[in-house]
Amino acid sequence: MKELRNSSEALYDRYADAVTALVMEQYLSALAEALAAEDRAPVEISAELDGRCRKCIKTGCTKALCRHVGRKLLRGTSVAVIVFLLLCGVFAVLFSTVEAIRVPIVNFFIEIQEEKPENSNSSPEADAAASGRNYLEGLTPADYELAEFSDRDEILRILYRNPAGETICFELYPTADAEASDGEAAAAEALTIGGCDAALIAKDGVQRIVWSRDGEESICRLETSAISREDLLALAEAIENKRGGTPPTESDSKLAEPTPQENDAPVYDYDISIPERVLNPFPRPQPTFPDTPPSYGSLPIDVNDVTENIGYYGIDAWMLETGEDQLIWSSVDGQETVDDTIGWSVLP
Amino acid sequence: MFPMILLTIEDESSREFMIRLYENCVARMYLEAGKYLSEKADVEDVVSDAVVKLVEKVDLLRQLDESKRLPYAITTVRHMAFRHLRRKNRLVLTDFDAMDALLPTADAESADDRVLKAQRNARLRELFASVSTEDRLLLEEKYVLLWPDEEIAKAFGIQPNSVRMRLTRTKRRIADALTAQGFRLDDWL
Repeated sequence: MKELRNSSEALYDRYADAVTALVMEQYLSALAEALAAEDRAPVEISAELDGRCRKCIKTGCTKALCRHVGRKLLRGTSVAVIVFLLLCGVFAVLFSTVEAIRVPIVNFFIEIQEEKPENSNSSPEADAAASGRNYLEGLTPADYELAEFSDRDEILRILYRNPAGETICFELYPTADAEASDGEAAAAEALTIGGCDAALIAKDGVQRIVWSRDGEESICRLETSAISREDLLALAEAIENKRGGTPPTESDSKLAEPTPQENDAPVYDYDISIPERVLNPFPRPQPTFPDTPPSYGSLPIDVNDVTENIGYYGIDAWMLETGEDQLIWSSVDGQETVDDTIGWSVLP
Repeated sequence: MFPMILLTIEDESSREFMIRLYENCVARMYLEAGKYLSEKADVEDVVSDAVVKLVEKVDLLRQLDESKRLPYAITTVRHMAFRHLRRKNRLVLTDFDAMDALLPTADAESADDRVLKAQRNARLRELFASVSTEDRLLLEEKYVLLWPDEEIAKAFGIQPNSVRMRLTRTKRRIADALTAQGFRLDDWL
């Protein structure tokens, strides 16, 4: 057996384990028989010991049960957490790899996001009341109602709409950068609103007044196709007055009644030069076009096609005529080559 | 609410089981403790500690065969007594007399089965003589009381790995002694 143990210690250990278990089983049987055969001498257990033991049993059983239940709960919780993490992992993998799952979920959240303002009882009236900057309030014709109100990032937008769908829109931008002058300067008429330089632009039946207070960078824009030129001017005056300008004139009262709409662009007798500050808030030097015509992809841009220099969000830009499209090409300054072109866009 | 009701029912059931076991065993436990301890207060402390230990093992006891519950309780109280003596530095580890007394030796010559049992007990005494009292306690805690290694390690004040190594050595000693006896499986079945 010694040789066996030396050659295969593990095998011997298994043998030792088995025989020890057998011996201990026999030992337990012998013990039980000995106890059964033992004469039971009467034993007097003291009341104190008996009470102590019974109390131990009572409290100990409860504790043991609590431990037992606690272990089960812990095990159940662990299983639940593992299952939850597995589900999260599977969901994350499916979400990131399967479009059929991702799209409905994303759409669901987008819908919730869109419905959120309604759910939170947000309305243009409430927003306007909260903002306190509804400059059109009480100035529009009677059948116009507030349709949109936005006062975010210092950009104010107020839109009134009548049952026919006609609108009056007032916008206030914090800086002149936001006001685009997209080639409409030619149709502009210079005037004053509340003592401020202003321009009235009429195009495709839409009238727009743009003005800026002296000493301020903000730009006001009032746009509509629904009311007459005179009413529009009176409305602009009233707005400017409401913003803190001169007192409103008598013409303000005219706004209560809508006037017939003029579909055609109005023809004016004015011959007033438009102030440069309004048309072009950022004076810039005359452009010098690059010697080498710029190009974008397969579409070459010939400097000879430049028809007009326009301001485009405070950046030098030129209107180009190339085929059917009009292009706006812009660069940091006119002497830069095409490599320094920072942006262009195609206008329909 | 439902789990609480179940808890209460299970609690009552375990408590009743333990009370029954206690009432059946307490006298024998008291006597067993008295074999190793002379002072009444020590005996009562040991019996009380043994009851606490038995309560901790209520689930195991309920699974045990009825005939093995009393030996389990007696072995527990004996281990508690040994631990008590060790705490008081009064345990002589080489003294086997007390433990050998557990195995009956006499009045078994008439019937064959009694003869066989007497022979078995003699073999057991011979085997246990080959291991120390501590190793015998270790074997009892492992195979009779069915304690996990961690609990045995705590009782011995050693690491669980040391328990496994010590068990392996003890089992080898038992196997060696058994081989020296001329082990025949039929003798043990």
